[in-house]
Amino acid sequence: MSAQRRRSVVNRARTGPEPGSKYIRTKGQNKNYHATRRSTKHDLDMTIPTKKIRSVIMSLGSLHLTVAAIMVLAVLVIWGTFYQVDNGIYAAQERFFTAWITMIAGIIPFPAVKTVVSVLSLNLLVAAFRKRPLNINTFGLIVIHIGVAVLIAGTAIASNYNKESAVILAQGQSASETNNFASWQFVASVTGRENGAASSKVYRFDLKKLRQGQRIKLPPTSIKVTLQNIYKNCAVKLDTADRQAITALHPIKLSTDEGRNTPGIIYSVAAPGNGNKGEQLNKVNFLYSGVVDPTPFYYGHDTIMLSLEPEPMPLPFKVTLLKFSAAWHPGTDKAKSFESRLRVLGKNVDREVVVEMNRPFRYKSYTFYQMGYSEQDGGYTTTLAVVKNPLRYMPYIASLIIVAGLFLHFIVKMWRNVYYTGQKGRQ
Amino acid sequence: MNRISLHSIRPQSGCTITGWTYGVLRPTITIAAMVVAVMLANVCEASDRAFDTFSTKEFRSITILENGRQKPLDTYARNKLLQFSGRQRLNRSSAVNWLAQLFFNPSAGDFDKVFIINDPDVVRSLGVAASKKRRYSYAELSRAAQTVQKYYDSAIKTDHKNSSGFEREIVRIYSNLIEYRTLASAMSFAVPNAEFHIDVAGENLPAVLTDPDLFPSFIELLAERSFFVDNMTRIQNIPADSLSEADQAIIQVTRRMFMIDGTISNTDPHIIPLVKNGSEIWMSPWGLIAEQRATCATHPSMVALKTMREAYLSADQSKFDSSVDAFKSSARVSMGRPLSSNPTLELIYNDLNPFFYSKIILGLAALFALVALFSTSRAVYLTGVSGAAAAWVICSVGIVLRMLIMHHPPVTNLYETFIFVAWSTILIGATLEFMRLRPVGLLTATLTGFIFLHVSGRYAADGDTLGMLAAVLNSGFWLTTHIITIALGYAGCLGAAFIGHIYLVQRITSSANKQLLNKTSRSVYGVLAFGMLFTVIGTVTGGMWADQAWGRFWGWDPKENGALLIILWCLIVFHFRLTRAIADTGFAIGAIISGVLVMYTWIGVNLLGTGLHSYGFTASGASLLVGYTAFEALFLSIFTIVLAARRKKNAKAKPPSQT
Repeated sequence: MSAQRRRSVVNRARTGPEPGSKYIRTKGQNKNYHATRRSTKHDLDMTIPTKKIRSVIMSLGSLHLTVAAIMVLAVLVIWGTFYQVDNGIYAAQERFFTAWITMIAGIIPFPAVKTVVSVLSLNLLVAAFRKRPLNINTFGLIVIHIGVAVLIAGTAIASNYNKESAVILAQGQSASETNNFASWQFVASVTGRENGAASSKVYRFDLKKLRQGQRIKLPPTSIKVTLQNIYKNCAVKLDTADRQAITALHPIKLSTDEGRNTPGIIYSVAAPGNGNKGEQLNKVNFLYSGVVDPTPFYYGHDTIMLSLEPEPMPLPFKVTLLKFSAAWHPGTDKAKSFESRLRVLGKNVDREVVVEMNRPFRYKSYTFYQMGYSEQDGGYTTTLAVVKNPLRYMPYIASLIIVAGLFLHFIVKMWRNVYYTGQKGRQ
Repeated sequence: MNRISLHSIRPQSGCTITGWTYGVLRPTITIAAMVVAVMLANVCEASDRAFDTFSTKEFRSITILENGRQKPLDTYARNKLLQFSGRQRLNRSSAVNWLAQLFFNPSAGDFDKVFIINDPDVVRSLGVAASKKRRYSYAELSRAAQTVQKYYDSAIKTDHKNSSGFEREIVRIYSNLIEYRTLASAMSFAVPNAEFHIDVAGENLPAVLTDPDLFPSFIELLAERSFFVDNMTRIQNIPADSLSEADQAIIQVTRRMFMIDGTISNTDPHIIPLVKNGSEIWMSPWGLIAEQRATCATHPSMVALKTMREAYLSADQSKFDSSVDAFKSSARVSMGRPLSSNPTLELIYNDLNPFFYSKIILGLAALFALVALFSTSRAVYLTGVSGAAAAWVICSVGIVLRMLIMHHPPVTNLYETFIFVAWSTILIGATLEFMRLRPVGLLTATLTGFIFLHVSGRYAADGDTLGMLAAVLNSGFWLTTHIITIALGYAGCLGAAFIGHIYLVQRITSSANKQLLNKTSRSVYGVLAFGMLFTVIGTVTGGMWADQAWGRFWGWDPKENGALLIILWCLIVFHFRLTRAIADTGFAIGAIISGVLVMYTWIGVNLLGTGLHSYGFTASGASLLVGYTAFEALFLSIFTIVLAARRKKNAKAKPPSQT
C-alpha cells in the first residue's frame, strides 16, 4: 500500500465517511485498517511507553473529549443562568463563567468555564496536529475551527486588558478619571517623618485581596491598621444623636448588580506604645463606602486618612458634560432616546461629541456608552459606562472567521446534497 | 398510476407545454385566486360591517394616542376588546362599533358578554353564574364588585413573582373593569344629568338649568361658570337661614360640580391633541376639562364630541359623520400641523387581518397535505402547495404592511418573532419541496406555519402588537440583522425538530423503506445545520450590538446564554453524529431536543425576569412552555417504548444464528 493510500485510509477511518457519501466502512475494512496500522514500520520502531504516551496525547484530541467538554459547558451555562436569577450576573460570573473550579453543594469540586474552555483549547490544539485531508469538503470545517481558536485565544488575552468603569456627571461637571464601582479599594493617605523629613504616601489595597484579621503597616508612619471585619455589602447604623456618626455595620445580602454593593470595614488603629499589641488609638472604627470623606487619625507627627474608594481609571483626556437631553414617547414614561453632549479635551483632542444609545464615542482604546441618567434638583445627571479595551476587535475577527467557515461548509454541503438528489432523481 | 404513499415522490413538473401549464400555471392561478378571494372577502366584510347598524367608517379613522403611538380608533377598539374578551369582535359586531356604543351609549352594552374569565375558581369565588363561553357582562361583574375589590386588595399585597394564578386573574379582571368604566365615562361630560337640574323658578337662572325637558350636562354647567362664580360670591354674604330656594339649589349644584371636578384626570382615551410649551400632549375629554375649565365648553373638539354623541343616539348618520369630520379637523388645527400618523394603511392592515387568514389557509393546506400522503390525487397535493404559497404571500403582505406602518424592521417584539418564524418555516418547507424532499417540505411548511401563527395570537392579546421601540432597540441596522438572523436560526431549529418528529414516525411506520428514511434524515440534518448557522450569525451580530450598546461583546446574560446553549447543543449533536455515537434516529431526537431548547431561549428566558434584555420580559408563555416540553417528553417516551417493543419482536422473529 502506498503512503498516500495509507494516509487516506487512516484519515477516513479517523474522521468517518461524510454523511450522505457513498462510502460505507465495513467491519472487514476496519480489520484491514488495524492490520495496516500494525504493520507500519514507524509503529514497529516505537517502544511501548512511547506508544502509550502517543495514545494519551492523541486521545486529548479526540472528538469524544470535544463532545464531553461541550456537554459540561452546556451544563455550566444552564446552571449559571439559573444561578443569576437570585444572585445576579456578577456572582454567576465569579462562580461559573470566569472561574476555574466551582463547588457542588459547597464540597464537590466541578470544572468551571475556564477549565472546560482550556480543555477544549487543548483538544483543538492536539487535533490540529493530526493529519487531515484538505479539500473542498473539509476547508469550511478547518476555517471554523481556526475561528474558534482565535476566539478562545483572543478572549483569554483581551480579558487581561479589558477594564470597565463608569463616570457620573452633572451638567457642566468635568472628570479626568472614571471609577469601577464593582471593585473597591481600601485607601490610606499617610504623612509621617522619614529620615527626619516629612514624607507623604498613598496606599491602595484591593478590597477583594484583603483578609479578615490582616494587619497593615503604613510606613513611614508607625501606625498599624488591623482589619477586623470586611463586608462586601453592608448597611450602617447611625448614632441616634449624631446622625453623621456610624455606630455599627452589619452585612446584608449581596446585590444582584455588583455595582450597587456598598462594602464596609470594621478596623482598629494601633500605634507603638506599651505592651505587645501597642497602644490602641481607637478600639473599633468603621469605614463605609457610602461615606465620601476620609477618616483621619493623628499620632505625634504621623497622620493617616482612611477611606473606601472605587477603583479609579485615569483618562488621557478630560470630559465635560455640556448637555444631557432625553425624549419620551408622548404620554408615556418610556424613553425614546437620551443623549449626552460632551466636550473632550486632551493632548491631541479637543472636540464636542454626542453619546447616545447604540452610538458610543470611541477614542483610541477607550469607549464611552450612554448607560443611564437621573434627575436631581430639576437638572439631569448622566451615567456613562467607560470601557478600555485595546483588543476590542478580537471577538469580531474570530466571529467573522467562524461565520465564514460555517457559510462555506453549509453551501458545499447543500450543493453536494442537491447534486446527490439530482443524481438519484435521474437514476 | 401507482398508489402514492407516505414515502412516494411526487411526479415532477413536466417539461412539455401541457405539463408546464398543469404544474406551474395552475398553482399560480390558484394562489392568486386564493389571495384575491381573501382580500375581497375582507373588503366586502368591511363594507357590510359599515352598513350593518350604524356606520362607524369615519369614526374608526379618528387618531388616538396610546402607549406613545398615534393609531386609528379602529386599532384601539380591537386591542381593548381583545384585552377584555380575547376576541376582536363582539356578537358579530365590529370592535369599533362596540367602542362607539361604549362611548356614547354605555348602558346599552351592560349585558354584553365582554369580560373573559379563564379561571373557573375565580367565577365560583365571585358567585357569578358560570358561562360555557367563559365570558361575562359588566352587569354580572358589577354585582360582584365588592367581592372583586376584596380579592384584589388581598392579591396586590403579594409580589407578582409569587402570586398565584387566581390572584393574577383577579388583578386582570379588576384592571379590566376599571378600564371599562373609564371608557364608559369618557363622554359623560355631555350626558344630561338630573342632579344638575334646578327645579325652582328664579329670575336670573339660565334656561339650561331650568329646562324641564332636557337636563344640563356637566360641560353645559361649565359654560355657565361665570353665573355660578358670581352667585356663590353673592351667596357667601347671605346668612344661611335667609337663603332662597333658588340659592339653595345653586349651592347644591355647585357642590356636585366640585365633587365631580375633584375626580377629573387625564385618563383614557387620549384623542384630543394639544401643543403646550412647544411639546405635543394628548388629552382625554375629561383631561381637557381639567386643563381648560373656562374655555373647554367651546373647544371645537368638545363641541364635535358632544354633537357626535347626540347624532349617535338619534341615529343621524350624516350629522354623526360631519361631527367626526369636524373633530378631525379640530385636531389638525390644535396641532398646527398634520398628525404624524396616517391611519389609512393601518385600517387596510386591520381589515385584511392577514395573519388570521394566513393561519386559516395554512390549516386547510395542512389538511390537504395530510390527505395527499395517502391519496393519489395530484389536485389534492397541488391544492396543499397552493394553499401554503397563498398563506406565505398573505403573511408577507402583513409583514410588509407592519413595516410600512411603523417604519421599522419586521421583527421588534415577541409577537413579531412568532410571525416571522412562521413565515420562515413556510419558506424552509418550500425549499425542501423544491429540493424534492417530499412530502416533508409541504407538511413542515403548513403545520409549523399554522402552529406559530396560532401561538402568535396569544401574544396579540397582551396589547398593541405595533408598539413603540425602547431606546435601546432604536437601531435600525442591528435590529434588522440581529433579530432577523436569530429568528431564522430559531425557525431552522424548530423546523428540524418538526422534521425529526416525521422521521421518528416513519422509523416506526416505514422502517423497511431505507430510501425514505435516508431522505427525511438528510432533511433533518440540513435544516438543523441551517438553524445552527443562523443562530451563530444571530449570536455574533447580537454580540456586536451589545458591544455597541452596552460596551461588551459577551456578558453571560440569560438571553445570550440561551443562544449559546442552542449552539452548544447543535455542536453536541453534530459531533456525536461525526463520532458515530448516534445514528439517524439519535440525530432526529437531538433535533427535537434542540426545538425544546429554542422554546426555552425564546420564551423561557423572558420569564426569568433578569438580565439586560428587560424589554422582552413577559409573564405569559409558561403554560405553553410546560405543555410543549410535556408533549415532547411524551412523544419521545412513546417512540422509545414502541421502538424497543418492535426490536424485541424482531429479535424473537429472527431465527437464531448458527455458530
